[in-house]
Amino acid sequence: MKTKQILLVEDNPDDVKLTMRALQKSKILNEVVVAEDGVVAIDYLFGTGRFAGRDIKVMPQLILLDLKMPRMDGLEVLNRIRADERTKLLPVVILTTSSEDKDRLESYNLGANSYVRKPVDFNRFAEAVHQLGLYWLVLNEGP
Amino acid sequence: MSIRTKHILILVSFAVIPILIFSVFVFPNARNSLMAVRIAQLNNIADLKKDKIETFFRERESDIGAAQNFYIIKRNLPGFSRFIHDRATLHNSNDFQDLDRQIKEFQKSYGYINVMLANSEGVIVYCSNSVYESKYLGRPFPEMKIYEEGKEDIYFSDISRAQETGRFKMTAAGPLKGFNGKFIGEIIIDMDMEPIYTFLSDTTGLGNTGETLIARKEGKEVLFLSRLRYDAEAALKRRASLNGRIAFPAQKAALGENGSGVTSDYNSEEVLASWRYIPALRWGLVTKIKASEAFAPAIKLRNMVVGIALIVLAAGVLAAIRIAKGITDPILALQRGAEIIGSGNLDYRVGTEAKDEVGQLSRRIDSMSGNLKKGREEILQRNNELEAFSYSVSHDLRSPLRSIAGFSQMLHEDYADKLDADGKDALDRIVAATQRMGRLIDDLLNMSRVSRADMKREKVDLSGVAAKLAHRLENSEPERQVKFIIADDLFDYGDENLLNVALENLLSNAWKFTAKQPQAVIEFGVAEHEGRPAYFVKDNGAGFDMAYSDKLFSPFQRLHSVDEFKGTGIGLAIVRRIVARHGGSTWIEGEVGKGATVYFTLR
Repeated sequence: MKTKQILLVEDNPDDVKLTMRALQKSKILNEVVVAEDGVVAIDYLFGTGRFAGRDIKVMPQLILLDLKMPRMDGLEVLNRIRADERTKLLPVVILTTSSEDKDRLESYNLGANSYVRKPVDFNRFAEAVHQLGLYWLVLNEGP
Repeated sequence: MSIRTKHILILVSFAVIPILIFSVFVFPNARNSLMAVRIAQLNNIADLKKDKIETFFRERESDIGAAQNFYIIKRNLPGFSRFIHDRATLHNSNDFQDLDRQIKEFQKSYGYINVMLANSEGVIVYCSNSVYESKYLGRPFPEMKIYEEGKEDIYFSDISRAQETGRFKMTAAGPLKGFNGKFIGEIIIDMDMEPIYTFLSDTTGLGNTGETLIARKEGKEVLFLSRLRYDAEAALKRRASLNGRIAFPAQKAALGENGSGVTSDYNSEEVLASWRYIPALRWGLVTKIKASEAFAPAIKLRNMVVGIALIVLAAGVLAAIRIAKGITDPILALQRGAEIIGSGNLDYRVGTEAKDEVGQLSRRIDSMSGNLKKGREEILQRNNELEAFSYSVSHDLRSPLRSIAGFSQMLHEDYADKLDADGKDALDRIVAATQRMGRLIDDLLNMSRVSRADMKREKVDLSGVAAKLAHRLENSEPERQVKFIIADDLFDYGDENLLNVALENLLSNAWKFTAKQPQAVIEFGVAEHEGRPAYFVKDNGAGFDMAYSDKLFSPFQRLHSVDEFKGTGIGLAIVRRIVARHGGSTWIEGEVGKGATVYFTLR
């Protein structure tokens, strides 16, 4: 069985590491591609820049997207994903520290599938990641 | 008392005081002096009429006196008695014709109705008016009283009405004496009263309601002898009692008195009257005029003054209202403006162009509210900057905190076997600290959100919100025994979300601090504070020392250890911010071990 890919868009290496650990703890063994900011994420998705020549028929099963990032922020990434035929149906979960109403509403407006605030407590964070993986990778059936 | 009322009172008193002075001093004076003048006039007229009547009758006396001395009567009257039944002989005699001529001339010249001669036995032996011949001639004179009185001296009878003509007349009788001075008979004259009546009915000087009348006493009554202005048929018919107020002047005059005064006439009208007694005729004479006419000038003057006073009064009131309006309108406008500005609308302008003090004040107020607005905008901006700063700081703090927490946890999970007890304890403390810090940051963010949230103003069912929250608390710890007392139908205006947050904090606090009460009671109700509703949440929990009551509303202030009661101490700070955003105030009362009551008002 070809494992389903997860694209983690996250600029903070600590968060990357913690997220990976949480995924592992949840026994989610899918391949995780890490993009350290929005530009890298876009390049990856559309096979441009550093990822020129990538087979873009292989798309991630789930995108975990941080909002505050250098160069291109999460909302812009989301906007571009939804604007392109090839990516517009991909499940995007906003995984952020922001609890601002504005960010949450804007994310949903742009077509985010979920909005999850990263808890400080690691156990709770791990639990959140576990739930997300279970839902989006196992239970949910795509279009 | 409002300025308007004061002005009206002042200006009205300007109008009222002259009226009072007039009515207390001037009008009675005018009336009294007018009365004196009127009475004097009436006295004059009464005296004049009395004089004239007396003169008239003196003249009649002297007429009779002249006739008494007629030579031809003295000489011939005794003789006539002998021919009383031989009229033809008598009439043909020269003596008779001479007498007849002289007496007819006498009758005619004085206008008498009839002149008769009676002999010493009272038999009429001569009658000048042929109309009456058949009635009297050759017979004793029927009115014995007149004849008897006439024997001694000239006598005037009472007025009577002639049966033949219906005219009013008087009879005068006087003794006739012969050359030797012996009584030989009487001269008896019927006089028509019309000249007297005509004279009496002359109302010169008596205006439109005055008259002069005569009356005499008859038994216990007064009998009117002349026609009255208001009763043409009164002569010899109308009577009035000698007692009482009716026809008072006529009573007095008939009783022989002279006088004058304000009294009541035969029709019970108020009159000014003067009354006189005429002894020779036993008549009372009254001259009178109605008081309404007599005092007409005074009444007119009074009406005029009252009219002028009323006009002045009305003008005064109008002027007062206008002046007061001129003063109070700008003040009221200022007052309204101050209210609007006071309610927070610093853009409202009350300034006017007026050069007076109020106008200056209005411009001062404008520049004041302008400065306030500038100040408020600066504060708001600073506040916003601060809020944004604290928000982003607390936000950014979360990220490293999560790393600390996450990696501590990793150490704990993956390297526990490589750490001794002290190392593990340190790790546990790190994890616990990060959790607490996370909560603090969350609270800060919540508080910041409360301050920054958009506010609506709608009718909020506070009782309903409180009941829902109480229900939720009960479900969270079903094992606890807590009695909620929630007042019904408390509605007020505010932002439902924010008020929900405030009540949630208050009820949660109450819930938390009554945890050690076996029978906890939490009450939500309303009291009155300075005329406004003050809502309160009251519990019978741990309470606190009032010395610290001010500190409780500051963020992260706690009076209990974390072990005793959980929490960061942000709840009351959030409540105070929410209430402040509604323009209200918060305060707390309590006592250690006896519970606490938090009050709040909403503007």
